Amino acid sequence: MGTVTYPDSAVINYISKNFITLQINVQTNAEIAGIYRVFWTPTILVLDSNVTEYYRFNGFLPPDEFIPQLEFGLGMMALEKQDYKTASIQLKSVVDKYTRSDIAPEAQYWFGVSEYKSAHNVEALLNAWRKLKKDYPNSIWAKKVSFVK
Amino acid sequence: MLRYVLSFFAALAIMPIAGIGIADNKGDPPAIVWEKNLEDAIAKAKTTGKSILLDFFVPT
Repeated sequence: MGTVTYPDSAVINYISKNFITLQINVQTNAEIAGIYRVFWTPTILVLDSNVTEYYRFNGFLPPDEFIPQLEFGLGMMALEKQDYKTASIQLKSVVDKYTRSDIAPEAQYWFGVSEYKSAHNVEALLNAWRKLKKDYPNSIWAKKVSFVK
Repeated sequence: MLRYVLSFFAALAIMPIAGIGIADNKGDPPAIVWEKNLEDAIAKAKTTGKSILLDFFVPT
């Protein structure tokens, strides 16, 4: 991460605009690592300012997958906080900007959920999930909505 | 000699373009700024309204 992903200019820009960053060495900070149940590195967490965890992922990722993961994490945070407007914007942004990223199908799934929860709009949910089936037919997320006609 | 003269003019031609490139990157931070500890990160997150990216790592 330190030699490939973090020095990348797009990663620097994205992180600087959206996050306060902290690196924790698990060998010298076992207590914090234990609190967050970290058993492998790298482990990346997306927290709010109350240090509540909303998203995590493990392992190295190159810049073109790392940024979508972070944006997805922000979308999931907004969704869980019931800020559906922000969640829909963030999750749709992941799909639109990083269409070929591995997180895009999951983002499309939760975008539908966010649209539904914001106004109990069933048609919006189904349309999002139909798009998921069409655009990412081989993803596990398409299987999760395979019952949708 | 001619080669040096041509190199000089080529450099003159490139300089404005290079200048534009530098201007474009003016607002970009050169590297990620890592906070020193969790307390500082929390304080900055509350001040800025940003989320926290926490990276657990092992030095290599």
